[in-house]
Amino acid sequence: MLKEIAQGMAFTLRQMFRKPITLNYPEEQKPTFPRHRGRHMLHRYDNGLERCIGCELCAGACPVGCIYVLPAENDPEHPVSPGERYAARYEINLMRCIYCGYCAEACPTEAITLGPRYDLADYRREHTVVTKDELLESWPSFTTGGAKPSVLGAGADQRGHEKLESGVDPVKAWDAFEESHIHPDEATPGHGGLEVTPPTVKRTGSGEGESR
Amino acid sequence: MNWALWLLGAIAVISAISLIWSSHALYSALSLVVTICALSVIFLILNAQFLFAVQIIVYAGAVMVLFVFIIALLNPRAEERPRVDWHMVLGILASIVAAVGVWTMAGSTAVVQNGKIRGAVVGRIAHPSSFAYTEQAVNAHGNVQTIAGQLFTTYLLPFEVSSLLLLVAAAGAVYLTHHARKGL
Amino acid sequence: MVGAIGFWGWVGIVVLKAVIILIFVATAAAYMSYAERKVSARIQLRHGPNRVGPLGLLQPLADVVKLFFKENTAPKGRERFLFLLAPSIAGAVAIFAFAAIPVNGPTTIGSFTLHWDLIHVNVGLLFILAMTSLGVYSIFLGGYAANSKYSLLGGLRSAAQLISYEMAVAFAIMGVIILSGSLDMEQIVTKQTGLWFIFLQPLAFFLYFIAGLAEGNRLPFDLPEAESELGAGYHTEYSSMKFAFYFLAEYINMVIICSIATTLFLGGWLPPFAFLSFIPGVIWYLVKISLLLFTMIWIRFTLPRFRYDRLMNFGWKVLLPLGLMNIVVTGVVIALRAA
Repeated sequence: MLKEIAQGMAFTLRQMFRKPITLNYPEEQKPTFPRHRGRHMLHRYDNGLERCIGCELCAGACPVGCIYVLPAENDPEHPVSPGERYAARYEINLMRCIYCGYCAEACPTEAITLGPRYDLADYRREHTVVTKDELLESWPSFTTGGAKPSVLGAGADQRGHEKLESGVDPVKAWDAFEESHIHPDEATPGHGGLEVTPPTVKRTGSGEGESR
Repeated sequence: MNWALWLLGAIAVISAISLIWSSHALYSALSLVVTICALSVIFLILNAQFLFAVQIIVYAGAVMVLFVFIIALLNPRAEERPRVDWHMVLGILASIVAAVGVWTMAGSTAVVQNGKIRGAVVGRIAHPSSFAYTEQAVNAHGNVQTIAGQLFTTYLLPFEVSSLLLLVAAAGAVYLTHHARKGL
Repeated sequence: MVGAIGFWGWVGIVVLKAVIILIFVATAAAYMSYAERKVSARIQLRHGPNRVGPLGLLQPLADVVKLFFKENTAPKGRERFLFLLAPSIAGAVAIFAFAAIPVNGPTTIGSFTLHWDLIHVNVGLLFILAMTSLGVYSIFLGGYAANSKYSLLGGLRSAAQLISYEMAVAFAIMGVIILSGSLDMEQIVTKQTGLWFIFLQPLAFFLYFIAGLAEGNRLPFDLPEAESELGAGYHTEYSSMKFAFYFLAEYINMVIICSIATTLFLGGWLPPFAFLSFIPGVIWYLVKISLLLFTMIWIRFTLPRFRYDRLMNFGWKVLLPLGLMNIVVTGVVIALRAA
C-alpha cells in the first residue's frame, strides 16, 4: 500500500511542474479550425463593395428565422453592392441562431460566412442581436491582409485550403477586426453619400415576415 | 485575579443550576460542559495547569462528548416542566445545608501546613482576600512531575486497580452489546 | 510573569500578542484557502484563481467580502441557540489553541523574558490538545442543530472519528514527551537543538501527521464532510458568516496541526544547521509549517477518501497499536540508556 501511495504522490507532484492546459479564456482562446461555425461575418469584394445584395436567401434558408434583412435599392452613383439592391439592415439574433451554416450555403455571393469567433456571452440581451456594423468586415479588410477572404469561416469557398492545418486564432482575428472598427466608416465605399433611413418596423424576432 | 475567580464561580454555579433545570437533555449536558470548563479555568488561574488540561481533555473533550453523542442519537423530547412538589423543596433545602456546611468547613480548616497544599485551596477561595499563591509555589507541589511521582509511587496500587476496573468495565460493555446483537 | 515591565506593560504585551495572533490566524486561514486552490489547480493542470489582483492574490479578500454579504439562510426546525453557538465554538476554540504555540524562542530583554506565545503554560502541549478536543462540539452540535439528515450524519461521524483519532494523536506525541521530559512547548523545542525529534521518532511523526489529518477533517479522512455522500456534512445547512467560521476553523486547525508537528518533530523555530541561525526563528517556523501545510494539500489532491468502517479500523487497529509500540520501544531505549 505504501508503494502505491508513494507512486500517487510522486505523480501529483510531477503534475505540479507541468504547464497548465487550461486557457485563460477569454484572453486566450483555443484556435478554431478553418471551417468552425462561429459568429457570422459579412464580407466585401476586393474593391470594397459589399458582397451582400440583399436577396434575403439567407433569411429564407435559416431554420430558426434569426436573420433579418432589410433590402434597399442601390444608388447608381454610389453603389453599396454590385447588384441592384443591398442590405440596408442586416441583423442576426445570436441567441436564436443554431450555427447550422445554412445561411452561408444559401448565399449566392459568399457574402455571409460563419467565422472563428465563439466568445458570444454578453451581459445584456440586446447586445446579442448583432447589427450590420458589427457583422461587416471593415475597409481595408483585415481578411484581405494576406489570406483569401473566403478562407475565413464555414460555408466559404475553401478550395485550395483543404490542407490548412493550423486554425485561426479567434482572438487575433477579432482583435484585428475590432481595431479596424475604431475608425468610423466614412472612408469605406458604399456608405459615402448614401443615407439609408430604414422604415421603422417593429421587430418581434423573426425578421422575415415584417420585411415583406 | 479575585474578580475572575468570582466570575468563573458564578458561571459554574449558574450553568450547574441550568443543568438541573433545563427541560431538554442536550442543554443539560451542555450546561455541564460549561460548568466543567469554568472549573478548569479556575484551576488554570490557580496555576494548576495540569489539572486544567486534564479536566478539559477528559471530561469536556471525551466523556461529555459521548454524553452529547448519545443524547443526540436518542433525541429525547423535552420533558414537562417539573412541578413544585415536596421532592423539590426537600432537595433545595438539602443543597442549601450542604453548601453552608462545605463553606464553613472549608473556611475553618484552611491551613497551609509546612508550605504544603492540603485541601487548603478550597479554603483560600472561600476567603479570596487571602489568596496569594504564586506560580512557583504551586509548581513546586502540583505540576505534572509531582502528580506522576505520586501516581507511580504512593498511589500505585489504587491507580492500577482503578485502571483495571475501567478496563473490565470497557470489556464488559463490549461483551454485553456483542452478545445482545448475536441473539437477534 | 509581570515582573520587570509592570502590570500595564504586561497587559500591553498580552493585548499586542492577541491582536497579532488574531490577524495572523485570519490571514493564514484566508491564504490557506488561496494556497489550497492554487496547488490543487496546478496538480490538476489548471491555473487556479488569477482574476482578483496579481496572480489572484486578492482572491481571499474577495471571498471574505462575498461571505459577509451572502444571504444568511437557516433551516426550519433548527435548534436556534445551538445553531448559532456551534460555529462560534469552532472559531473560538481554534484561535484559543493557537494561543499556546511558540513561534520563536524566548527573547530576554534585560530582566524581562518575552515568550513568543500568548499563553505560556508549562503544559502547553496539553493546553493545545485540550482546546482542539473541544472542537468536536462545534462539529457535532452544528450537525445536530441544523435538523438535516446530512448534517446529523456528518456530525455523528465526526464525533466518532475525532474521539478515535485523538487517542492516536496522544499516543503518537507520547514518544516525544518521553524524550523531552516536558510538556512545555518551548522546552520541547530547545531539547531538539542539534538533532530534531523526527530522526529519533520517525514513526511517531508519521502517526501524528496521519492522525492529524483525521483530526483536521482533511482528505483522505474527511468523512464528516464527504461531499459525495453528505452534501457538505455537518455544515451543509450553514451559510454566510456562520459558514465562514467553520471554514476559518478548518484552516486554523490545519495550521495548528502543522505547528504542533513542527514544534514536536521538526525543531520548531530552530534552523536546520547552526550556521543558518542568523535567520530569525519565526522565519524557520513559517517555512516549516508551510512545507507541512503544502504536504497536507498535496495529500488531499492525491488520495481518495477512506470508507467509514476502514477509517475506524485504521485508527483503532493500525495507528493505535503502532503508537503503543512506539511508546514501549522509546521507553525501553530510554531506560536502557539510563541504566
